Amino acid sequence: MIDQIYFEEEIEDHPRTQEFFARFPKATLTPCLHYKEVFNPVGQNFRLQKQKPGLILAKQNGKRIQSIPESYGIGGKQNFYFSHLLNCLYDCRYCFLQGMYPSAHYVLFVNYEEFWDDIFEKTSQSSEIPTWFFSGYDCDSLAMESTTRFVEFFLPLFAKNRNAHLELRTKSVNIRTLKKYSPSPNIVTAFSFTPEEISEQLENGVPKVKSRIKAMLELARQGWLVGIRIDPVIDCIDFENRYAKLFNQLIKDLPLPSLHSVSLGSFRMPTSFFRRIEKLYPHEPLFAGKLTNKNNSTTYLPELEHNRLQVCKKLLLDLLPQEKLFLCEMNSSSP
Amino acid sequence: MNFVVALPTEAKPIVEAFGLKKYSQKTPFPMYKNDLHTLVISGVGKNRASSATGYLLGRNQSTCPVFLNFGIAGHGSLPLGSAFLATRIISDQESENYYPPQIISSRIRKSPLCSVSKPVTDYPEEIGYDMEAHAFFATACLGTTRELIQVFKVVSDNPNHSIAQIDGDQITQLIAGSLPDFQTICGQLQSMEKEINPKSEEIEFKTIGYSIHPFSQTQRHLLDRLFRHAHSLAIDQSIILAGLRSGKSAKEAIRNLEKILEPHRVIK
Repeated sequence: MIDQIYFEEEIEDHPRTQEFFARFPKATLTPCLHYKEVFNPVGQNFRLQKQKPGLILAKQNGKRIQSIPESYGIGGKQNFYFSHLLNCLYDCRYCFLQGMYPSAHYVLFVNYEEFWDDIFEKTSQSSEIPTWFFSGYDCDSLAMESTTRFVEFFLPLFAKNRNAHLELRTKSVNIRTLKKYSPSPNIVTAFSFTPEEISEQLENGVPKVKSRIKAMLELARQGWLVGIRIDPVIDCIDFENRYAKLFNQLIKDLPLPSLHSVSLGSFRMPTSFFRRIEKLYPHEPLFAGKLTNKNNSTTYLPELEHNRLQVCKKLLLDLLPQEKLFLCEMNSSSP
Repeated sequence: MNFVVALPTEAKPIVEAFGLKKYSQKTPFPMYKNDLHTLVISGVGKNRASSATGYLLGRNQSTCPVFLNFGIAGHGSLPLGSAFLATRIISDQESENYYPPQIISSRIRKSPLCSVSKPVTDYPEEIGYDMEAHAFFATACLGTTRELIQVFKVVSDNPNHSIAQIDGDQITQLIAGSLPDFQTICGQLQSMEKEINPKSEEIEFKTIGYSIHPFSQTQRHLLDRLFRHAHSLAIDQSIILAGLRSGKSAKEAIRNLEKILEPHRVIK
């Protein structure tokens, strides 16, 4: 429920801004000069704001398309990410966003058309190589679809431009928009999972694992490509059994041709983010785990990390071919 | 919880409602207190508001205290007696704008507010007008988190009712009329303050732990972390203290504590 909308004065008349005003008639509307006036000041508490975040409508005038680290891809040669939205509907305790942003408000960039122009331009620059665009780095791609209508706008454009590949990364079951369209081979909806016991402890507000599997299967049965993201892998008691159970649940009913990729990444985030999050939630058991600081990144102790990833890798390779599995290393644990 | 109020007539209903007592020692601003609340009467204008807020900040023991500015304001459109929380605080003299995070759940109205250096009589925009909020916020945010700094105003004048028509008794009545809203705000801010500040039991436990050995400052930082982890991992305090006591030196005590935690460092 959005009851506070901030908007940059510059975009007050933008049709998408006006649409928001009309859709949330009870929200308090507060103008600002630039979204950073509201979002960026020091001395904000992410934990308190997360209880009642506002929506900031803004225009992304800066760099709209960013390159991603090499180890993050899922087979593409050229990989970029873009963020129409900053922050996530959910409240996962392992998520780096809590440490990266000073504020829990949602920032929605309304200039979708300019994002698309940049995507199109990047794709045209190298039309012979498929180019991947990841939309779920700074937000969940589907969770706020009923508010943002992001998929509604971008999906038909990607569907017409098959050289531009899109990954929608999500923990949501909000697949209504996707289901309205015919499947496109260049669009992958990637669902993130942790075992049920972990999800219940660490993924606040996220739909149950079973519901997410159901949504994933629905899309797959309709012919959409789906991805599975086991990222972050979280150390826990009964580790092997829990992850084995999860992988079986995920893959047993999934038609293999619909499975685009499975990626695996351990819990990791920049140490500066970790320190901020630890201050916000000093009593979170996850942060009392066997963690270490390695190259300014907080990760599990190397031996433990290696062991946990190898266990997952082995379990997954019993269920799917090697070429579908990707290992993500030394990035932040994503939403 | 700290209240900054410009006038004695604005303070009166709060002093009565919260049972605040006049602070007997000499202070730069009139001050009223009980165990949980401190109220200062700053006087009118940005300099006084800023100084009074700074004074309260300096006296504060809490890591993240609540700061609430409360009082009357003019408004370009709201009727007399309406109360509102400020969503955006601008100033006729300063370029920086403030946006108190709107995390209070209530039906209380919300409005932008402009802090002016001279009283406004023509109310050029449909916003609130006061003389303290901007300076109050600018100072308070140096010492606490912005969510816990709020500005709550009651409309005393608008285009139909000039400020000249209001006397002290009427101000007190207006403020008294909005006390239920004021108490709602205070209740919620107090819960949030509790949520993010360390609990007194934890502080006491730390003090006991520190006293067992002559820990250096660096070792105390390490201990703080280990105490935090012990709490997260639900390890009984008596086990922690026994581990510290069984060490012959500060260094050994820390090592013991690390050993106690080690097998528990995995989430359930």
